[in-house]
Formats: sequence, structure tokens, C-alpha cells
Amino acid sequence: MKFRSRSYAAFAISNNVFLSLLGLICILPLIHVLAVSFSSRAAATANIVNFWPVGFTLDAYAKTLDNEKFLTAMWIGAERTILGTIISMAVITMASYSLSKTSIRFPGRQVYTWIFVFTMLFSGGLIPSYIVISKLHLLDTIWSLVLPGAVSVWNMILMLNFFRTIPQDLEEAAYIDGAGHLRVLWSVYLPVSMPSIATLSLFTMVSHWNSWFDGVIYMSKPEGYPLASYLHSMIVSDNLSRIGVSAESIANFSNRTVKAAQIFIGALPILLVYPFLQKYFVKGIVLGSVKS
Amino acid sequence: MKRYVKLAKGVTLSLVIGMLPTLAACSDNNSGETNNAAANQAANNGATKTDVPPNEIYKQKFDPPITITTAVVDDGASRGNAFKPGESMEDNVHLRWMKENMGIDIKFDFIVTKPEDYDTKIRLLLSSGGKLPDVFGAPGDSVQNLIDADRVMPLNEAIEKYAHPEFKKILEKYDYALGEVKRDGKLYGLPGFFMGDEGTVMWIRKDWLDTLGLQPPKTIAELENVLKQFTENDPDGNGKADTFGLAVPLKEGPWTWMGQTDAIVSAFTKQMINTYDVRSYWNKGDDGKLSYGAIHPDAKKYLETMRDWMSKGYMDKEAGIKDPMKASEMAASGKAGVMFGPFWMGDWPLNDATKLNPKADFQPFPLPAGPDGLVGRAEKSITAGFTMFNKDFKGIEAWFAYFNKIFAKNLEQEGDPYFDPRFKDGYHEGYDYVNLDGKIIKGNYKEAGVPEDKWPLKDGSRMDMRFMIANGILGGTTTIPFSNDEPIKKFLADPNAEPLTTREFDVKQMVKKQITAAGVRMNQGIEEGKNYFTGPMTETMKSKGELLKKLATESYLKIIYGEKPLDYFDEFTKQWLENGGEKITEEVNEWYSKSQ
Amino acid sequence: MASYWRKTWPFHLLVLPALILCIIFQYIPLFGVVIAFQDYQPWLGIKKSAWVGLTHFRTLFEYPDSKQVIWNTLIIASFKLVINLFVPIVFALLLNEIVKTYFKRILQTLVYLPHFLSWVILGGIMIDILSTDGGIVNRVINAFGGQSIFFLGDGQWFRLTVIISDVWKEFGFSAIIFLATLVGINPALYEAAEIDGATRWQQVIHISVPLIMPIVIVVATLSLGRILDAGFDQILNLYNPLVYSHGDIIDTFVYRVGLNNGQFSFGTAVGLFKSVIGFILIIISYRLAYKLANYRIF
Repeated sequence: MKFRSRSYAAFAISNNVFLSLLGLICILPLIHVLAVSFSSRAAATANIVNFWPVGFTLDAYAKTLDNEKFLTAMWIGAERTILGTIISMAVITMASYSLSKTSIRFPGRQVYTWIFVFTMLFSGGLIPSYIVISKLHLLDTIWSLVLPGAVSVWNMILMLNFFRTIPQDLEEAAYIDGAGHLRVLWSVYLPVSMPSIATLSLFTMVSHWNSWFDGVIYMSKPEGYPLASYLHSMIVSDNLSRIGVSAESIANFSNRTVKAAQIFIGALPILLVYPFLQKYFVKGIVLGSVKS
Repeated sequence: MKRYVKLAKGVTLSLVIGMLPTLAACSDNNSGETNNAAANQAANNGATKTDVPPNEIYKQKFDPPITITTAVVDDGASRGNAFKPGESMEDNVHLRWMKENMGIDIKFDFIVTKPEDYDTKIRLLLSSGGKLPDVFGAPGDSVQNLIDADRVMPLNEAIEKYAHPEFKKILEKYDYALGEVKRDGKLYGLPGFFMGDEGTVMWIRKDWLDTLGLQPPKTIAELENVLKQFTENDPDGNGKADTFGLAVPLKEGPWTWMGQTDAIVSAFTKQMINTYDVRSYWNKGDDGKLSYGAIHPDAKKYLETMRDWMSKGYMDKEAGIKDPMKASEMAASGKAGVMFGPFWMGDWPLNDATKLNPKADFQPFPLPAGPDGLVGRAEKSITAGFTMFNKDFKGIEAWFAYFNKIFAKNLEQEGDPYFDPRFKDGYHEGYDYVNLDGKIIKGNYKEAGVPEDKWPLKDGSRMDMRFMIANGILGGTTTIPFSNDEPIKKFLADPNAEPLTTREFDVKQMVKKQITAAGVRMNQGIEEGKNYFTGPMTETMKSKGELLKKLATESYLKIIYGEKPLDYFDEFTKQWLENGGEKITEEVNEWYSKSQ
Repeated sequence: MASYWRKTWPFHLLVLPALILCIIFQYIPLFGVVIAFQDYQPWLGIKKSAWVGLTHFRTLFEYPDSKQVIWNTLIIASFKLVINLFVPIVFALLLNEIVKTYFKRILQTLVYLPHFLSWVILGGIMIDILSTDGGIVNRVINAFGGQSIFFLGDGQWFRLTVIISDVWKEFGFSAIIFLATLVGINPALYEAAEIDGATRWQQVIHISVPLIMPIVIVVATLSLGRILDAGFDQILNLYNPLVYSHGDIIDTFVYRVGLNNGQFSFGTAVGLFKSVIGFILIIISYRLAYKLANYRIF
């Protein structure tokens, strides 16, 4: 690196410091949640836990991991995330390939894009969607979680824009070699698009992992809930006004340490996926720089 | 595992269960036809059940078995030890017992984890033409829809024919609270009741009172002094001005489920006030008309006091952004010394204060009197929701057979023909009780000398049977309001008394402070202020209710925070009336005069 | 025509799976929007519910609070839109300047974390850190001699708090897309510029920024579709009666109205209204981008 001017050095240092601070601000809440999960119930009730457990105990984790439903839900969450991401990325990649062509090469592409963009904004709402899923006999199947959101138009548009930046001559060279479109997509587009594919896969995974509403709606028993649906019901039930409160139930309702443990364990898998995908867009330079 | 032992404490029967909505859909499985036929026959001549003499009616058994499909809210986490490992809501000892001994087979159409989700599912089933229902707890906003749509059955006849006589009496007694499910003189739903024991008491840090040499306050003026001392005189003796008097959530206005200020309101007026729901409180005036409490001029006295305390720092400065949970942190963490709320606060959250600081001792006290000697509190609605029956449901006799059995068990009345002697000692041996050489033991198994292999649960804790028993089809219908009162009196008189009934046993499991607090509530002998409007939402409530709720809660808070002068109240009242309040008042009174 | 199909059929074929899914799960349910023009009652269904025309749309504007609520929505949403675009870009550019890969990766992971905490959890945490009574933020303000600020209870501050906390929560996640783009830039370009004697700053301005511009425009355009989404979940968990006047937004308002009464029709009508506005904005900016930059966003 050649930028050793003094001002750049000063910039680099302050940049490092600034970004480190930023990173710190971002991780503190999670540390707080973590600390709560290791604290005693009383400490959590009084909310005196900051960033270090008060009355250290592993109870919350014991209870969480002992809970069969939690583990089942985690598995279903993983299942839908993996299946959903594969389907979604496959569908989107193919469509984006076509739609990234110019109107000259693919007249009519714009009809398609507008058809898709329209659905980004307009939706029929809960009831008709439910009726469709129900008529297709997809209720209580993993497909009800995977298929309806498979065509993420947002991701599709990003993808087609990424594809557009791929040099034309790469593609043409392939055609000259006699490759078909699928072949070009597979062996020319995909390898050079790893950073974007990693990015969009991440978006897809995250949204699958986090969506809870469809699970609640389309599954008839909590045994079918993905983790997000399961957690949602655990975490948001703080409002007791609708429920008669009994001396017995109150203590269970207020168990914040277990909630904290569940939040943490629940977020863990998707947090762990990140560094793995990250390498594609931090080190992706090598791929992105394929020369023509 | 201290927490598990804790679970084995007082049970206010089926309060949570009371909200467990139930849904049963016409079973369209293979057994559907047979049981419909059977039920039809049963309905016609009552002959398909095993014939039993009237004094042994508990022996009723249906043959061929009747299937009742249902649904339930069960989040699996907040209920403690409801099932043994390997058993579940859908498969457990009680369901097997029912099938074997009563010929009733319960099937679950769906199970959700939250009441909101349940409501959504019901609406979806309604909207998508899904099959609805045999027996179900109707979500509040669907009750009218269901009656309108003629999808539910009027129950008068079935109640007359099959219901336990004591239940009929209860229905009569609380008839005033059933407005929502009454239409043209017919009753379309059975109420699930609350226990009625959640009336506000005043919780105060006794140790702080002692430290500062103060007496428990008997009047609002004395309370104000306590708040002042707690705020200014460093009751925790740490040398810092980090305490204040009253922990209170105001995010939802004066009335909520914990930390509510109904007692302060009632010290100044007989009006009950809730700003956060346009359906309550409607108070009855001397002229017999109903009027909305939150706009009554008397509310100014309450606002003036609250505003004064807020400006002096006697109460949580951030009360306006806090919900009850958040507000209770202030009490539990030793920042605030006074909080109002139900008896159960003696465990969570206030006992947690003691766990963190052994000196912290919240004790329940009677409510303070106002300048004119007024003392009072508001009544939490006694109904917890309604169980409704599909118009096409043919097995209502079977439902009542089961209902009567459980109801009789709760009642524990001598010579009751509905009482099933098989449940004499409890529901199921090895679950809610253990028979140790003829001695019935229902809890604290270790202390009672029960060998470990006979404990219902491996950790020796007690099982919470409510979820198994209510199992969706009963809702909270078997709860008998105020049935905790007698047992509480018994244990107040003699804490070591031997519990004889299940009810008594449940009460004995409560934390001591909870029992004390329940006693404080009962002994003060306050007649709780009722909400006289129990009908369905009126048209204008539907269209303008939200607006008025926002207006009222916002205005109250602005006045309490001093952002608006006290006189702004008059302006608010005017706006409230103009923006639909007047029309609503008319509608409410129209309903009231009709329902009389 | 035949030649058109012969030339383009592979393209059509590749779009087909997406199109089919889209039609089944998006277009077929679209019939549901008709309830925006009905007084929809669940038990009657769409076929039998009464038609009421534009009543619900009018209702949205006729509430005494309507103006205020719409204004709050616009203010909060547009600030969020702009800042949520700007901050991640700047962050991505700054992060791109970090040389050490491991440090870069750690930082990137850290800022990505808040995205995974729900507002229910953050709501409670924010009340604590913003407390006027010993909250960390106010302690810092006091240390600098400032007066404590009631962030969540004071209207103007509430808006600011909502905007900043949302940016804080999302910037790390939003930055990923720009980072991926930056990474995709051919290093040869920088090398060439360096040979020409360009400073790092000049390289950023003349290479990095122009090259991520298309993505920025795309993201900005798509975000415009949500101009009336001010963040339902967040506001629902943070607002309170003290800040209704500055913090109540369309979505929270509709939510509360719906709670009272399950008003499907009203909610659908409002949703439709929001969609139409968003769609119009997208069309406009699509046209603008095409006219001014000769760039088709999609």
C-alpha cells in the first residue's frame, strides 16, 4: 500500500477508532441479553443486570435445551432456511439471468420486470393467501413456508443489476464455444458473481430464519413451528391484560432469563453462518477481478 | 432446582385456562358419521349413554364414543409442569381416562401458542369457509360475528336440560356480565369466569416505613407523606437520592393489570376510570343512566393529585412510557417503595426484591381513604371469555356430562350426584396425588416421605393439572368466582390448618404474602366498582373508539406531566363528547335500558 | 413472431419458474384487495360482503388525527429512508479502507448483530439506556453539563430517537450489499489510478463511488416504495401516550383501530393506499433514472 501520506495515516487511525467504537455500540445490547440469560430470575425481574450476570446460573439454558419443542423448532427453522434459500436462489438466479439482458436481446423483458415489481408493493393480504395455501393442500407442510416467498423481487432486482456488470465479452466467448444459456449461467455468471450470490443468499437465509408469522398461520400445531414462530410466542407474551393472571402462572410468565437464553440460542445459528459467507465478500476480490 | 419447587404453589383455578380459547370443528374424519348418529340419538332420547340412576349420574358413559374436536392455546412454557415427560396436551392420562370411562374422545384441530394467534386462526377459518366448530372459546371481536352469522347454538335449552344445578345458579348470579353473548333473550355462550380475587391492594416497603419511623398510611394525605419521605429521606440509607415513592405504569392510563391506580381514583370519587378502553368503565349515575368515568369532572381531583406527585418527584418520572412489567422493575430493584396491584404480586415481582436484598420487605396494606373518607377500587371484569357451540354440534349432552363432572369436583359438595367418587382423592394417582399406605399426599412429596420412585415428577415437584383437565373443550367455564375466599380465610386464621379440599390445598401452596394480601383485600370489605356496560361494542365504539381511547389517555398523561393545565380536562371532555363520545353514551344507555 | 420466440425462448423459460410462483402466490391472492372497497365481514366472505366504494379511503383522511398521523409517517419514514441509505454507504466506504482483513471481518460481524434483536427486546433496553434517571446516555449528557433529556417521552426527541435507533439497528446489515459491490470492483482500476498519481481520496471519489452508484440508485428506488412505512414494529414498542402527537404513524394507528374491531377492510384499504403511493414513486424514479442517467433500474 502506498498511501502513506500523513493525512491518510491520521485518517486511518481515526477511522479504526471510530469503527471500533461503532462495533462496540452494536454488540453491547447482545452482551446484555447474554448476561441476563446467565442471571437469576430475581435479578432479571428487578432489571439490575447490565453486562455481567448477577447471581450466575445456567438454569435458563438447562431449561431451554431441555425443552423438546425448542429443539424441534430449531430443526424446522433450519430446514426451511436451507430449503427456502436453495429454491429461492435458484429461481431468482435463473430469472435474473434473463432479465439482465438488454431489451434488444430480450424484447419483452420489461413486461416481466413490471409484473414482478408490482408484487413488491401489492399483495392480497392474509386471508386470500391463506385460502390459496389451503386449496393447494400446503397447510402443515414445509412448502407453505418455502414457496410463497420464494420470488423475492428485491433480491431479483439486485441480482439482475449485479449480472449486468459482468463483462459482455466473457459471455460471448462462451457462446462462441457453443455453450447454451444454462451453461453460460452456470459456468460464466455464477463463478464471477459469488460475492453477490453470497450476499443475496444471506439475505434470504436471514429472512427465512426470522419470519414467524407464516409459521403461526400455516401450521396447526406448535410442533410444526419454525424457531422464529416459536420464539415469537415466547417473547411477546409479556402483555397479561388479556389473560387472567393466577398466582401460579405469573412466575412463569415473567421468566426473562429463559427468554434471553432462547433469544441468544435462537440467533446463534444465523450469526454463525455469517462469517462463513463473509469470506466470499471480503476475499471475493480474487473472483470479482476476473479479467476479460 | 428451587424454581421447580416454587411451581408447586398456589393455584387460582384455571385463570389462565379461563382464557384458553377452544375450538372444535365438525370432525370430518372417519369416525364423524358414527358419532353424529350416536349424538343424534342421544339428543333424541338420551338412550345411547349407559343408563344410570339419577343419584349416580356421574357414571354417564357414551357408547359408541363421541369425538369432540377442539383447539387450545398452549405455549408450553408459561404453564409449568402440566404433563409428564412423554405425555402432552394431545395424549395424556386424563384424555385416556375420558375415553375409557366416559366414551368421550377429544381431538385437537389446532394448537397455538398465543391468544392473538388463536384469534387469527378463528378469523381465517371463518373467512376461508373452514369448518367451524363444535365447541370453542370465541375471541372477543368474533362473538358478534358468530351470532350474526347464525353459526352458534343458543344454549338455554341445553343448560336447562343438562347443566349442574349449581352452575345454573352461578349463571343467574352473574347474568349482568353476560351481555355480550345474549341476543333476543337467548344465551349463545358460556362464560369462563375469573376468580374475582385480583382487586388492588397497596404494597409498601415495610422496612422503609420502619427505618423512617412511619406508620402505614391510612389516608391519601398520609400516603402522600410516605411518598414524600421515601423520595426525600433516603429510606435505603445509601446516602444517595436514588429512591422515590410510587412505582406506577401510566402508559395505558389509570387502569391496567398491575400497578393500576384505581385505588387513588376511588379515594376521590365513586367514578371508576379507564382511559385505555372505551368499553370501560361505564358508571351508573343516580338517575340510573350510565356515563363514562374518564370524562367525569371528579377525575380532575385524581389528576390534580397525580400531577402534584409527578411534579414533586414522588412517583416515577418515566411512568408515562412504562407498561406494568417495566414499572414493576422499579419496585423490585429497590428504587420505589410503594406499588398498587393484585394479591399475587406477593410472589412475582415483589418477592424478587427480597431475594436480591433480604431486608426488602413489601407488605400488603388496606387501601387509603380520600379526604372525604372514600375508599374503593375497580372490579376487573369477571368474565374471561366465552365458550360457544356450533349450531351443528350434536354432542352437547356429552359435553355437559364432562363439564358437570369437573364442575362438581371444583364444588366439592356433599351428596352431589355429579361428583365422581373416582376423583375423590384427586384426578389421577401418580399425577396430582400419591397414595402412600392410605394417606393421600398432594405435594411436598419429599417432606411427606414419599419414596422417590413414586413422585409424579422426577424432581419431586407438583403437577399443574389444570391444563390436562380443561384440555380445550371446557375453556374456563368450570371456574367458580370467589371460591378461593373461604380457603384463604381458613389459612389466615390458622396457617398450619390441614387442607381438606383440592381448593384448600391449592390455596395453601401460595406464598405467604399472597395469602396475607388476599386477606387484606377481603377484610377491607370494599364493594368493587363495576363496569355496567357488558354488551357488544356499539357501532360508534367500533368507528370512533380507538380515537377516543387515544384522546383520553393522551390528555390524562399531558395533564399529569404538567404539559397541559388542569383545566385542559374540560377541553378534553368537550372533544371527547364531540368526537363520538356523545353518540356512544347514547348507544350505551340504549343498550342498558334494553338489557334491564 | 415465430422468430421472436425462436430467439428468446430460453429467456422465457428461465423466467418461467419465478413467474409461476409469482402468479400462484402473489397474483391469485390479489383478488383479496377488493375487500378494501367492501364492508368485509369474515363470515359473509368476499362474495356476500357489502360494497362501500371508497368509504374506507375517505375514513383514513377524515379522522381528526389523520393529518397528524400521515405527517408523522412521512417525516419519520423519509428521514429513515435517506439516512438508512447514506450511513451504510459511508460505513461501507470506511470499512473498505481498513487494511487488516481479520479486523474488517470482526467489525463487519459486530455491526451486523443488532439486526437480529427484535424491537420487543430493544424497546426494554432503550427505556433503560435512555432513562432520565441514571440511563447511560443521559449520564454522558450530564457529564458534559447538559440537561437530562426525556428521549422517549418528548415528541421531537422521540422522532429523533426512533430514526437514530433504526439506523443503528440496520446500518450494518444494509451495508452488506454495498460492501459486496465494493469488493466486486476490479482492483486493476485502482492500480491504474495510482499509477496516474491519484490519492486514496480521489480514488474513492472517482472509482468507488461511481461504481457503487447503480446499486445505490437501485436500492434508493426500491426503498421509495416504502415511503409510508415508518417502522411499525419499532414504533409499536417504543411509543406511548406522551408522544402520540409526534410518534403515532399510519401503521400503528391502523393496528389499534383493527384491534378494536378486526377491521379488515379498513386495514386493507390503508395498505392499498400505501402501495399505490409507493408504486407511483417507484415509477417516477424509474423514469427519472432512465431519463437522467440513461439507466434502467430493472
